[in-house]
This record gives sequence, structure tokens and C-alpha cells, in this order.
Amino acid sequence: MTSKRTSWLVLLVVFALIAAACSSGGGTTTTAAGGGEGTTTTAPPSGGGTTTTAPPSGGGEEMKTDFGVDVESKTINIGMLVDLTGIFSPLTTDIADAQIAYWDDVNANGGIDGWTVNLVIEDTNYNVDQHIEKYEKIRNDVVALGHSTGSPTNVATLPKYKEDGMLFLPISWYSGWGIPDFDGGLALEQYTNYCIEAMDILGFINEMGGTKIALATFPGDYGQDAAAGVKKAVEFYGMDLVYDGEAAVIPGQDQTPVITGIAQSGADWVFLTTNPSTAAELMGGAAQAGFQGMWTGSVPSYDFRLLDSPVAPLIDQVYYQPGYNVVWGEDVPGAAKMQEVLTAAFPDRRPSDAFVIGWVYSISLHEVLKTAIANGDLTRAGVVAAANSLTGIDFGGLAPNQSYAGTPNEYVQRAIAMFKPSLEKYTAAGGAEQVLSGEGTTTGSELVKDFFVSDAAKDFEYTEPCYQL
Amino acid sequence: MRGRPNLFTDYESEMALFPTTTKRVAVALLLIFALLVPLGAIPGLSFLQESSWLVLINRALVFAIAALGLNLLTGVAGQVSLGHSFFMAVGAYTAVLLGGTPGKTVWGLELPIWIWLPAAGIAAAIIGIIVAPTAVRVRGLYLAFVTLGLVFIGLHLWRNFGKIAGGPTTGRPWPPLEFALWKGDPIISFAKDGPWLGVQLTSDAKTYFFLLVAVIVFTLVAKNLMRTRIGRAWAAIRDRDIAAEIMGVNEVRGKTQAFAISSFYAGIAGALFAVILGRLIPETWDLLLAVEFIAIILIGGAGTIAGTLLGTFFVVLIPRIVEDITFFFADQVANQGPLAWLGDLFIRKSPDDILGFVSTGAAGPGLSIFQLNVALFGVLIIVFLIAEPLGLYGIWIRVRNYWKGWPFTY
Amino acid sequence: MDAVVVVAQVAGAGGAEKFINALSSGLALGAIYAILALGFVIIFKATQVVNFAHGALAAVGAYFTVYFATVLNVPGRFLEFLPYTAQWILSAALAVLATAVVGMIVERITIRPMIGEPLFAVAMITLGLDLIIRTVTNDFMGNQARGLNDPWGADIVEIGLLRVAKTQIVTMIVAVVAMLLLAWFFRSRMGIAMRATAFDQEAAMAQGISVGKVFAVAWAIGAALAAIGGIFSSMAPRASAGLTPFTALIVFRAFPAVIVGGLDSVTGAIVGGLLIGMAEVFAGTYLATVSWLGVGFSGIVPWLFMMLILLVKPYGLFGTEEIRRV
Repeated sequence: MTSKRTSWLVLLVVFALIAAACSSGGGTTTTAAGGGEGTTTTAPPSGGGTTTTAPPSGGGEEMKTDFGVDVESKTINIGMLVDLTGIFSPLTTDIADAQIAYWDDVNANGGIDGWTVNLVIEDTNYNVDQHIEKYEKIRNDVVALGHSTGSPTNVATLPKYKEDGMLFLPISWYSGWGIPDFDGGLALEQYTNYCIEAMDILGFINEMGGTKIALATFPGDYGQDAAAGVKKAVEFYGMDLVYDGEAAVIPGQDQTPVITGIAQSGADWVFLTTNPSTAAELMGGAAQAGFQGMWTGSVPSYDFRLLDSPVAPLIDQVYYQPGYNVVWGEDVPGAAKMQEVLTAAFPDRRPSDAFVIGWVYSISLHEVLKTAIANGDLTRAGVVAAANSLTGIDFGGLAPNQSYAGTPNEYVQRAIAMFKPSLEKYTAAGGAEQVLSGEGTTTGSELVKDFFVSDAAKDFEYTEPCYQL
Repeated sequence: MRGRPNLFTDYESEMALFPTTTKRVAVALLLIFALLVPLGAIPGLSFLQESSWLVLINRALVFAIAALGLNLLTGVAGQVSLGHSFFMAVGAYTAVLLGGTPGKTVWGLELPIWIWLPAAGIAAAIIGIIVAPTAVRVRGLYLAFVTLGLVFIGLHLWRNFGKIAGGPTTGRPWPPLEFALWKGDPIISFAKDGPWLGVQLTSDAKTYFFLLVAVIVFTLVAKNLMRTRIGRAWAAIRDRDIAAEIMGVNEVRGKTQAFAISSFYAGIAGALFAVILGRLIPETWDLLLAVEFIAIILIGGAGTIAGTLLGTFFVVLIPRIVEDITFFFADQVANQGPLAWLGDLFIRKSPDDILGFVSTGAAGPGLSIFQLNVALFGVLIIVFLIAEPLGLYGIWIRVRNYWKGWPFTY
Repeated sequence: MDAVVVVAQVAGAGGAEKFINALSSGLALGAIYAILALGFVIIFKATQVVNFAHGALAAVGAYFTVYFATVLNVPGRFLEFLPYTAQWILSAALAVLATAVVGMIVERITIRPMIGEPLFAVAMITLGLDLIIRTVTNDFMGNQARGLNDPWGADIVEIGLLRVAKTQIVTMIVAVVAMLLLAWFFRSRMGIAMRATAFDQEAAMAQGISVGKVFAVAWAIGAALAAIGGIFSSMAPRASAGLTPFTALIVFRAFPAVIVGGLDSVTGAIVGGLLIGMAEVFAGTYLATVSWLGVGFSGIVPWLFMMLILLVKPYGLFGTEEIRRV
């Protein structure tokens, strides 16, 4: 026993020594580089709050910078607070990887006007306190956040963003991100939001002849924002809300109450705002209880990988899926470049609709940085100003153009597209066996209605968040 | 007496807080060290004053308060509780109800800190007293699972009392750490940067000092409790409850006191935890948080104050240190630094790198650095406990005894 | 049958159909809980270890099934003449065996050195194990849901008013078979050795029982049961998307079952599992419309039920009462 103990202790001491040696090493790096770690390969300047002015970057005027920009090496550091291990990681790792691939490609081809973009990635585990902690870790090293997963995380960190004047791209489509009174004009919201999206989807249901709606959502900003939109549209179209499961779906719990509610409601359409695995559970459960209606839901409720699951035949028959952007494999002008770059970066990965999201976000950020560089102002304030001046960002058909200048009601994006998951299309292309390097990769969705704005959404006066936090 | 540290000639000196000169000096040094941390005045450790580290250290200080409470209940009185996060939540929500700002969807009375902070502790203590009789009926592991049930029932309550807890996925803001006599401008604000006695301090540094004082106070109270009648009664109940009863120790009273005081600590810590983070969602108060505290006291060494404090810093800071180390190696490999050969052993550089099982990208192939952090934390817990089941305190005792007897092995 | 209908009528709203379906659904969920609880109890009974890594082992079992059945197709690829159902069952069986081996390895490396150490220090170790096993499994699994490709899919059988998923029928059959096998095992030589060890380790050793071997077998059986539980909790209709990184958390929902039955009682685990499963589903079916109970109330019904039982019987329904000596 004693000898065993000793050997463990030796192991421990060795480990501790390595740890000590390296942590002091890490410590010096930290102080030298102003805490620049993550996947940073170049040491960012220690900002310190003073505005440094540097020689011109080729043009006549000078470049103003404060945090996270190294004028000498012409590097722009962009923070990425990504949920890499938490509940939304299925979605966000794909998004983040598309962003990484995008910027690697831009950097390899001369950067933005000679500037290299360096991503500082941190894992937040979709956890509020870890998000704050990681933000603290990188806040002085980055000029903006190119990816910031989640609503609660971003809402909780918002006071700190405001303190710093930090532009962030939320991976969350809460209707507050478009309202400057709420986010201080710092969130560069992409696409439409859950609330307007729901109105569009109900417009689609209206066209399909649906009148009796059942609603089942997660609690909170995501589910209840969408629920607010559904309720507004139900009233607009004179439909019946036969089951109101707003905030009734608690992830990870027994879903019998909601399944019973849906199954007995006699609805002809169900609107879900959940995550894909819960959506599958509800659909499977309701089918078992004999429910026969059609299904749809907010964008994050569906994932094409459900086509590998036992409910695939059911999804093929009854589910319609909205899209903020086109799905992977859709033939639009902007898709060729994306497919080429991502295939080169991840030849062995499966195709994913989330790649498109990451790509579109990167294009937006690219435009912001390009404008800021052209303005000669890469300070945080300069980046925010550049972002809020943009109009008509063109995604080459991947998503409808996006603008940020004017009032929210003027520029808010209201369009979505509708898709139908097709098991046949998916299986024919190779199903789960597909890799990006293969031919004709698809996530199995077919476009049924190109980008459109429903009547309910068109007339909607967008001046405040649909669901107040 | 000199040179005979273990010889006590009267009870009083044996029971003294700091019985030996060495201890007194050590505590004084530790205090000076603690005071210098946020000023960046310690050579080699000046990075600790950065806000990213201070935020972590502040969290450790808050956790230390909660862990001290759990240590009294579990370590000293022997009642294993997996429900500590529940009591913390009670404290946090009491604080926000009394001190928070009312809004369209939430209640709040905007009372000053000297009301909401003690109230947070008292409310938790009252709930503790209500729970305590269960501990007389239900014992050991069964009690642990009853307290675990409290965590789940609590989660259900917080999710459904939106008026108090805020939105289920977005929570609500907590009042800032400010001292005011009544509503209105604060006299002392720990939440804003500014000078103190001529020294420019960040809000994190100010919060640190506030928490440091709180930890010292709570440590002294805990230490004193342990060496009074109450503490001895707890130890008696822990070691053999029936024997304790026969000797005249009132079991019901002892357990009730243990639950009340432990919950008081938890309530205060919960309120402070929420306040330093600023905004929390109900899911924060889950099983994982409760388990973290059990981990703290077991890794530190159950029943000891020093062990509890050590354990807190270990559990809170190690993930960050592990992370820094892995990033350091990733950096070495990328830039071919002097330690690159060591990093080569585990960091994957190309798809056909057989040795490397850790990739630096967001998602595999192989473990990502972020996954490695989590797994390494698990490995550390296991290695530590196998090496020394009595925790860090046990290791410390062994090291101390070795040097006491040096150069002899015993 | 009449009796059931009468009870159903008494239960009111929705009538017999609702009641019968809740009953079958509750029994199926209860069967999963019972299997998970059984594994937990066997490990606790034989080795006095509270295994927090049980959920992780369940996920490992389900992942092995995904890997064997859908990626590698073993042993199916060597036995192509068999129907798919048989091939899949063999894959699942192989996965259960593999998990049992994992359990034994884990026991040998991390639990054996801790024999005789405080109960909670060992529990902490299993907590560390949980972190490691889950991280590594999640890494192999990827963070997307992975379907098990089981032959039953989301198929439903209708028997009169009863609509039951085929997977649920299979779950109940497997649960019964597992219990019968266990009952047989406890009568075997090894089983008797295990019972002796559970009763008194030192006395068992004195009788020439290899306690180490008993520990290894207990962990193997526990892990195998965890794997079975994990496989069935990654199936339609409850987990229609398949195995996810959060499947491991189902074990927390099974904890009340362990306690209600009594930590060290095999019978208790089965009864507790069924009771808790039914309590959860019935609360979900009948209490969902009672708004003052709050959203998601059915999720805490098992815990409330557990507390109630413990107040009446502090050692659970079938747990051994600790004899308190001075």
C-alpha cells in the first residue's frame, strides 16, 4: 500500500512541477502579451486604453487603434466566445469552424487590405459565469467579438460590453438585439429574429390552409420571443391557438405533459421552439399518441441530422423547416466559394447547415472591418460606427441582404425561406456517409418557398423587443 | 516551552487560535500576501492583478465562504449535504428581492446592502432549520439524496417564480456591491473603478478587498465555532451520534444548529456570488454547483479550515491553470518555442499525426483543448485522492511531518 | 381488465385511453429507471461505492452500440445471413460486454487502490471519472445526436385502446430478462460470494473469497446494466433523436428510484424504478393543467415522492436498516 501511495505521489509531484514550471511560463506570456492566449499565434499589443496612432496603412490617412489591433504586424484580433462543450455546441462548433475557415482563407489571400485577422477562441460552455469569465480574459486583447453564443450569456455580459463599447455578433436571434435602446447599438444582429420569423412561418401556414395552431416552446428569450410572434400572427390571420404550450417545454425533462397537450388539441399545425432532440422527442411522442397534424418551428428547432434518427420518416412527411439563410448545397452565387473553402479546410467533415451561418456572419464582419479600415479608424468605437453605417451587405444569395443604418423598423430583416426535409434526397446523396470532399453533398432539404415576408411580418411595427427580459 | 510546539501545559493554550509562533508568522505573511495580490506587487505573480485572474480569485473567495459553511455541516457535524447550491440560491434570491431594482416583470425593494446581505444569510438559515429535522430521521447517504432533491425542487421553484428569479433563460440583474445608508448614492462603491487612499483600484480589486475581509471574518467565526461547545457537540455527533446523545449532547439541537449555520454561510455566499457576477439564470443553482462544494471540502480535507480554503482555490483555479498550460504548449508548438518538443507529444499538428490526441481547433479530430481541460480536471481529482484520500490537508500534514523530523524519516 | 377501466373512469378527464397509455408509458420509463438503478445498487451493495460515473457508463454503452451497429457493423458484417434485427441485437450485446470491460478497467485502476478509504473520497473519484469518461465519449460521439439505428425505430403497436411503441415493449422484456438473469446470478457461486462480501468484507475474505474478484464482477455487472439503460434511454419515443451528450444525465432522474427502493436492495431498485417512472408519467399526464404547480412539475414529482417515502421509511422501502450501536 505504502509503495503504491509513494508512486502516485511521485507522479503527482512530477505533474505539479511541470504545472509550476509552465504556469509561471504562461504567466509571463500573459503579462508580456497582455493576456493574449487562446489560439492567438501572434502576440497582440497590450492595449492599456490609450489610443495609439500609427503610420498610414498605404493610403494617406493614419490608422487609429486602441484595443486588439497591432499596427506593426497589421493584425486585428477578434474574440470568439463559443459554446464548444455545452448544450448548443452541435450548432456552434460548426458555425465557429466555418468562421475559422473563412478567416484562414482571407488571411492566406492577402487579408483585408493587408490586415490579418486573428481569432481568439474561448469556450463558454453556454454558461453565464464562464462567459463572463472568458470575456474578462480576452476583453483587452480584442477589438470586437466575431461570435458570441447565446442569449442569457450575452444579456448577462451586456453591461461589460457597454463599458468597453465592444461590438459583438450574437449567435442568438432574440428580438432585442435589433433595438439600440436594449443593446446600446453594439450587437450586430444577423438575419431576422425569432419573433418576426414566427410571423413569417404562420403566414406560410396560412397559405397552406392551416387554422388550428398548437404552440410548444422552451421558456425564456428564445421560446417566448417566438411565442410572442406566433400569438401576434394568430390574431392577424384570425387563426385558433388550440394549445398554448408557451414556455412549457423544459429541456431534459419528461415531456409527457406537452405531448398530451398537443395530441389532444386537435391542431392541424404545431409550432415548436425547442432544440432538435426535444423536437424529435415531441414528434415521436405525439405520433405515438395518435397525433396526425403538420409540424414546423423556429430555425434552431431542426437539424438535418434528425434524418438519421428513428423519426426521419415522420419528419419527411410532416415537418417544414424555415431558414434564415439557404441550406448547405443550395446552388446560389455565393455558395461556390463557401463550398470550396470549407471542403479544403474540412474534407472529412459532414456537410452542415450551420456552416452557412458561420460563413454569412464572417461576411458581415468582413464588411465591418473593411469599412473601419477604409475609415482609418480601427478603434472599438470606430468598428461600432462602421457596423452601424452598413447598408445592403450582399451575401451572394446565401441570405437576403442586410442593413444596419436607420431605425430598427426600417432596416430589420423580415425575410425567411421555407424548406422541406426530404429523406429521399438525403439518402440518395449518401445520408450520414457524406463528407465535404464528396460530390453533390446535401443536408436533404428542398426549397419550397424562397425568401419572403409574410403580411403579418410586413405590417409589424418593430420598435421594441417582442418578449421583454 | 520553546521548541516544543506540541507541548501544551493548559487547555487554554491548546485551544488557542494560533498556538505556535510559526503559525502566527505564517498567518501574518499570508495576510500580507493577500493584501498585495490586487496591487500586482508580488514579484512573479503580478499577473494575478489582471481582471481575468481577479474575477476568478473573487469567485474563489465567495466559494470559500460557502465551502466553510459546508465544511461545518459535512466536515465537522458529519451531515453530508448535496444541497448546498439550493441554500445559496435562497440567499441570492432573498438578496435580489430586497436589494434588486423592480422592473416590468420582476419585484425588488432596492434596500441597501446592510439589509439584504444579512437577510440573505438569515433566510437561508431559516430554510436550513426547516430542513434539519429530516437529518434526524434520515441518515448518511439517504440524507445526501434528500438534500439533492432540494436542489431539483429549488430549480423548479426558481424557474417558475419569474417575479423573483427573472426570466428562465435570462435571469435578472443583481444589485451592485455598494454600501449606502439608505436608497440613494452609495457611500462606498465596490463596483466602480476609482482611488482608495490615493491608490487607483479597479472594481475587481475593490471587490477583492471586500470579499477578503468577509472570508477572514467567516473563517474566524468557523474556527471559533469549532473550538466551542457547539463545535465539540457537532464532532461528537459526527463520530458516534448515539454515544453523543448518551453523553448529553442534544442531537436534534446539534443538527439544527449545524444546518442553520451552514445555510447562513451558503446564503451569504450565494448572494455575493450573484452580486459579483451581476446576472444569473436559475440553472446556475444546479447539482454541479453543489457537487463542486463537496469536491472542494473532500479535496481540501474534510473537517479542516485550512483544507477547505486550499480546496477552494484548487477547484476554482486549477481549470484556468490547466487551460493556460495547454494553450502554452499549443503556442510553443505553433511558434517552435523551447518547449515545443513536449507539446509535440500530445498536440496534433496534421491529420496523420499519430501521437497527437489534442487538436487546437474548435472541434476535433481528437480532443479539443477545451475538452482536454475538462478531462484533465477529472484526472487531477482522481490522482490527488488516490495519492492522499485525506485531501490537500493530508498532503500538507505529511510534508510538515517530514520536515519536522528531518533528516530522520520519522 | 374491467378493474383497469373502472380505475380509469375514476381518474376522469381523457378516460380509459389516457390512463392505459400513461400506465404503459410509465412502466416503460420505469423499466429504464429500474435497470439503471439496479446497476447502481449492485455496485453500491458489493463495493460500498456511490457511483457518480453511472451516467457516463450508460452513455458509453449507448455509444458503443452506435459505433458497432452503425459505423463498424460488427458482428453483422460477418453474419450477413442473419436478419437485421438479430444483427443489431448482437451489436448491442457486444456493446454491453464492452462497457462491462470498461467498468472492470475503471474499477481496477481507480477504485481498487481506494479500498478502505472514506466513502465520500471514493465517491469523489467516481465524480472525476464521470468528467473524464463523458468528455472522451463526447469527443468520439461528436456533439450531435447519434441515432442507434435500432430495428424498431418509431414504430407503434396498437392493441385496443393501447398505443405502445415497439421499443417500449422491448425495454420491458429486456428489463424482465435482466432481472431474471440477476436472480439466477445471485444463486450462483459468484453471486453468493458477492452477497457474502456485501455482508462483511473481512469475513468473506477469511472464507477464501477473492474480494478483488467480487469487486471486478460487481463493476462489470453494474456497467453492463448501465449500458443497457443507456441504450434504451437513447431510443424512440423518448429520445427520438438518439444518443446525445446529455443522455448521461438521465441517471440523475433515476436516483430517486434508487433511494425509494433502498440503496442496497436489488428488489428495491426494481420496485423503486417502476414506481418513480409511473409517478413521473402520471404527474405529467394528469397534473399538467394544474397551473399553480408550475411548468415542469412532473420533473420533481419523483423527488417529492422520494422525500415522502424517506420520512416514513428512512432507509427506503427495502433498504437494510442500519443498526446503530454506541
